[in-house]
Amino acid sequence: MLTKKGKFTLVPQLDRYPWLVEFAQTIVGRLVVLAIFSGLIFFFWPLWGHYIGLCLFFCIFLPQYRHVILVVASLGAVFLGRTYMEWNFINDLGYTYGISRPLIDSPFTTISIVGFVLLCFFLIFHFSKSSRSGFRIRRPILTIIAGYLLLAFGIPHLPVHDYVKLGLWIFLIVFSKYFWFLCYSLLDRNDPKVPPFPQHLGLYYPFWYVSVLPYYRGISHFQRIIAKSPEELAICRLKGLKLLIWACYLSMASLLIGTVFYGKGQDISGIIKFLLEANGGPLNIYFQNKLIYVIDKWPLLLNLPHYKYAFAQSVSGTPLAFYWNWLALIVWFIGQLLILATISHAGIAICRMAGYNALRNVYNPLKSKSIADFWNRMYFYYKELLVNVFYYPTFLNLFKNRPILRYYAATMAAACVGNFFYHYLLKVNMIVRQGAFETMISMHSLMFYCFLLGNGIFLSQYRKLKTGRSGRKLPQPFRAIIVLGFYCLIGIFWDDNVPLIDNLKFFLALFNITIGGNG
Amino acid sequence: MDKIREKIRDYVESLAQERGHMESVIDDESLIVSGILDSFAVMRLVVFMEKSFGINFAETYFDHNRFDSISSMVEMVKELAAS
Repeated sequence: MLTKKGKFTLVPQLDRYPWLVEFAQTIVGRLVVLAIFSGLIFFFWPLWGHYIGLCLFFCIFLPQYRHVILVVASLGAVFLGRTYMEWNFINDLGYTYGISRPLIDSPFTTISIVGFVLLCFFLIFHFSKSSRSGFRIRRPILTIIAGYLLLAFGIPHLPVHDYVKLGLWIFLIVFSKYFWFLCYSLLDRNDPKVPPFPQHLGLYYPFWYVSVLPYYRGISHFQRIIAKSPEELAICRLKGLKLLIWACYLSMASLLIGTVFYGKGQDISGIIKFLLEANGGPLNIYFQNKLIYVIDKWPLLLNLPHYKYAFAQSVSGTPLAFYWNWLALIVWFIGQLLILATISHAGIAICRMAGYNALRNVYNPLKSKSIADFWNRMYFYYKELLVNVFYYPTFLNLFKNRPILRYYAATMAAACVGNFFYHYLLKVNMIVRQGAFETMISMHSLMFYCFLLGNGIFLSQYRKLKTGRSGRKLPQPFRAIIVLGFYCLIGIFWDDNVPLIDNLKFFLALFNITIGGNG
Repeated sequence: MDKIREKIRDYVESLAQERGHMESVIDDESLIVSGILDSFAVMRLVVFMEKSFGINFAETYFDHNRFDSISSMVEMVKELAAS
């Protein structure tokens, strides 16, 4: 597609054509944009495409009621089961505590449990407002972190009936899934412009993205990105459509990489596998399995060893040649980046379609100038969360007279401690089954990763902090290679399902060094 | 008071330029919402304000949204300096 200046762009700049912006404001235009958008969304979330399309329909035609629609959509998703919850795990837990029937037997039960946890959240929010004259929680975020850890470590040792323990575990599980949403509510508790708590619920697992990570930068900030006028809304929606088209290109790139590098029979990527193989996957529906047949007929292309295979070989003491390991690692790393970019683009595209000018989560990572810059460009909302919850409080309160130490402590609080704690919360099932301490110990490789990342981010800013100037500037391609190389290498240690020593074996195998092994 | 505005504008522009935003920044232009400044830049603004205006953010309610425009920053500095 050519822009006005005649410059070629892969994704048409839909929001820059005045006639299209005008058309997108009409009823027919809104319907057309929604229809195209919903059609594309179906490829990403086949099972929930209708639900998302319906929510968008109301957001587009009743934009003045978006705050209500968000709340209804968010709670509706809980009712319908579109959350990050693992209710089956809670049922299994019930059996181990001697309950003979499933604990979660209807959507009303799930709503009741979630409702109770959200009521507790409301009380925490209410009692932490600085305007209160009586009892007040002064450091609410620190309090909920401490409370979470206290429960996680303490529940097994409580001298209470097993059913009480079971109730506390269920509370902890649901609490962990909503933890970061509550953090953002608490961060904005004293902002006079922030809406009442019930409206926050519209952003707790919003209908556009099911993730424990909030894809916004706080409730207060979210109020500031609302598109209001018909023109703003039309531009916002077209930007959403544009981003979704880009996400489609990226998912095709995933498919291409998987096919070219791994050939048939390999796990080409989570998304594509899901699209092709999941029950009711849209490609299956449209092509009645013929497409899979066609792909299976493609010749074996490069047929590179998959990362998992290369990793397993090095762990068993019979590593592949170092260049195969490098190739497997690099292709795996690129695949991971593509998946993250694709899925987060699709989520943000829906958010824009609903009329909110949200920034992208992934933005030109190849233009990264430093390790810190890459973190910002690749994991924007994750970084924002850690910065708001861990970095700011540390920076504002500690080592004020020692600037370098101040930056170091704040960076480590966010990229190391906060980063680890985020992943620790994700392991709540393991905490329940194996214990809080044992879970923490099992994640020692991730701990090492977080330590490396924190130090890497700090060092990448050190010179600028010290002298106020950047170091000697390498040409951008070299910078990008160094930065991506860093993330690619430390990414080996990110896998917290295996011991550090195994990750280390693969790392050394990249440099043709073999240690230990069973072979 | 214009001195405060000038100082803040100069610093904000230098931060924006580091992030590839070369145009001059208008007083009411949204900096965080539009993505011109990120949270790391906000921290550098905090240090700058602590040094330049003697503000202690640890003793106040820290609202990073107030760093969203030059105007809101000027307003904040006036408020905090007066208190």
